Amino acid sequence: MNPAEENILQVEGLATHFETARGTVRAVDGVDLSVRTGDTVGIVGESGCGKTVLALSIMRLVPPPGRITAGSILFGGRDLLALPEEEMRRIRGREISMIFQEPMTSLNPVFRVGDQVAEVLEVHERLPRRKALERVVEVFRLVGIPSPESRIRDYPHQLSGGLRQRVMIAMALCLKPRLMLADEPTTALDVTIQAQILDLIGRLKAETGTSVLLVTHDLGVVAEAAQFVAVMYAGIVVEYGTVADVFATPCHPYTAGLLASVPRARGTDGAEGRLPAIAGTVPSLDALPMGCRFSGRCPEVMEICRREEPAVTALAPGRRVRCWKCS
Amino acid sequence: MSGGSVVSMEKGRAPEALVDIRDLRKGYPVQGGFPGRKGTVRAVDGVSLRIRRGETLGLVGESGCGKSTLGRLVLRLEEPTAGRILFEGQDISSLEGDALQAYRRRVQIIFQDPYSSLNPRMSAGSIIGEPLAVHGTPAADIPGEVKRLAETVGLSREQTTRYPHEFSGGQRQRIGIARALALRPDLIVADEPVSALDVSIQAQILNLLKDLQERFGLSYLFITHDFGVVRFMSDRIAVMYLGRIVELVGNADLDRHPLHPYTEALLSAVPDPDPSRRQARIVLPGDPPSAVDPPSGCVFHPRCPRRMEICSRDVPALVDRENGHPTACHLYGLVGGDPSL
Repeated sequence: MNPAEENILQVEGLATHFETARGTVRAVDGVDLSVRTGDTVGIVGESGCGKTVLALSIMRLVPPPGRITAGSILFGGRDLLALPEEEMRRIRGREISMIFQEPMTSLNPVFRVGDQVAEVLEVHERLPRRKALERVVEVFRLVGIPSPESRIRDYPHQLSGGLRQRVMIAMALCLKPRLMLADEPTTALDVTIQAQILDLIGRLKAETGTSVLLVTHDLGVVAEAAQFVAVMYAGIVVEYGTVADVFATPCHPYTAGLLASVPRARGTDGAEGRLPAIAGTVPSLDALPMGCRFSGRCPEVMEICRREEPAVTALAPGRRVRCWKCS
Repeated sequence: MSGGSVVSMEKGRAPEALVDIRDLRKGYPVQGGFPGRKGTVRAVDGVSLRIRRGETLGLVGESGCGKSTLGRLVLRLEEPTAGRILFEGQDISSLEGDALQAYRRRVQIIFQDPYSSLNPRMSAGSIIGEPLAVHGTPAADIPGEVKRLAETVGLSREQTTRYPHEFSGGQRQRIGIARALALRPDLIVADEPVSALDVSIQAQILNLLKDLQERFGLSYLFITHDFGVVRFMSDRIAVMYLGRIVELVGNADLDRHPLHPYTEALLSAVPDPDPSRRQARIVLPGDPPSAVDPPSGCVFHPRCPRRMEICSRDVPALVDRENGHPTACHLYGLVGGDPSL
C-alpha cells in the first residue's frame, strides 16, 4: 500500500436531506471529499452549514427524519452506504470512531469512566472485564490522564472538562481506528486546555497513523491542526485545498469574508477601525436562494450568480472552488 | 472614545475614573466533598481596577476565573464580601431606594446568551421598552422611543412586533443591546456578548458595539474569554486568573509585550488562522486549580513555565512595571511604581 496515495475515505455526491412539515431541509447537498491515509482534513463552516450532518452521514448515524438520498461513501474501498447495518456496526468504533463536542453529555453520568471505555473493548474485542480495564489504563496513560489506575474508577462529574475530553479521545482510540471523526473536539474547552487537546490529537495521529476528519467552526483550530480544509456553506463545499493555500489566498468570497471577520489576537492593529463583516445571515436550508447559495450575501455578486449555481472548478490539482468569479 | 494614549497614566493627570474598584472580594460558601467540610470559593480575591469614562476595559480569562462575578458586582447584582466600588466617587454599596434606582439606570448589562436572556412571551418591542416603563417614562412616549432604539441597533420598526423565536441569534443580540441602551446608561457590562454567535455575525455585533460607543460616549466593561475579541474591542485589558488580576495592559502592548507568563501562554495558545503567523504554542500543564483552595504564593505558580522559588511562597503584588503596565509577577522583582490603576 502506498499511504501517500491511498484515500482512506472518499465521499462522492453525498446528499442528506430532512423531510419536514415545512419542506425539505437540504443539510448536505452534494458533497465530494476525500481523506488520504494519515492526513487531517478540516471541515469548517458556520452553524447550520451541514458539517455535523456530514460527519454523522459518514457514520450512518443521521437521526430521523434525515436520510441519505444520494452519493457514495467509500471507506478503505468499501461503500459504507451499501453495507448491511450489522456490518456497519462493526465498523463504527473499531474502524471509524467519533469524538463529540460536549464530553459531559456524551459520557453516561452513572457509570465509571473506566467501565465506559472498557465496554467498547468488551463489545468489539470480546475481552473479559479485567483485561479490558488493563487496556483502558494503558490508553488513559497514552492520552495523558494522570494516575490512570485510580481515574478509571471516577464518574464523569469528578473530572474536569479537559480530562473528560481525554476520556472521549481514549474511547475513540482504544480500538486503533483508521479514521477519527472529531466534531468540535475543543469548542467547549478553555484555550489553555484546547492547546493541550490539539497537541494530544497531533501526537496520537503521528504515533498511530490514524486519519482525522476535524469538524469545527474555528478557523484557527483548522489552520493549526489540519493539512487540508473544506469550507462548507449551506450544505455544500464551496472551497477546498491545502490549509496553506486556502487561508493565504482564499478564492471564494465566503472564505475570504470568514477569514477577514475573525478578530485576531496577535499581529494586527488591535482596536483600530471596524471588522469587515459579512452582511446578512446564513440562508435557511429549506429555502435556499436561486443560483449560488452565497449570492445574497456576496460582496462580489454578479448577475449570473443569482441565476445559476456555479459548478466545481479545479484551480489547480487538489484545489477546488465553487464560484462564478473563479471559474 | 478617550482617544490615543489610553495607556499613559501620569500621576495627577490620570483620566477621570467612572468606576473605581478597590480591593474587591467576593466569596461563596461551599460544602466540601466530605460531610462537615466547608470552604469558600474566592471568586474575586482582591481586585483593584478603574474604568475610565468612554473607554472599553477588557476583562479576559478562562472559565471560573471570576470575571463574570466581577461584572455582577459592578452591576450590584451581588454584594461584595469586602472592598468597595466607587461610581463617580460614590460607594455603590450604600445606595438605596431612589439612589439605587438611579444607579441601575446608568449601568446596564448585555448577556451572553441571546436565547435565554429574552422573555419568549414578550415582543421585541416590549422587551426593548420594558426598562423605560419600569423607570417611569410616560407610556405615550414609549413607542416612539422603542422605534428609535430599534433603528439604532439595526432592526426595522415592523420587526419590533415579532417575538424572540422569530429572530436569529445575531438579531436577538441586537434586541438585548437595544434594551441595554434604552435608559441611556454611562456604563455597559457586556458579558461574553458574542460568544454564542457565528464569526460572520460576531463581527457585525462587535462593529455595532463600537459604533454605539462612539455615538453615545459609552464606557464598556467587556468580559470575554476570547483574546481576538478582547483585543479588537478594548483600550486596556485586564487578565484575570483565579480571582485576581495578573496583568493590566494597554491594547498595543498585549500583542507586542505581554509581561505575565500566563498572558504569554494564553496568547500563544490562541490558534491563528494565518498560517504565516504560526508561532510556538506554550502548552500549560494541568487545569486551573480550585478557587476553594488556591495554591500558596502566586496562584499561577503550579502551572507556570517560569516559576522561581519565591513564587510558591510570596504573593506577588500587582504593581506598575513600566509606564502604566501593572503586572503581578515576581519575574519583575519587587520594585515598581504606584499601583494606581
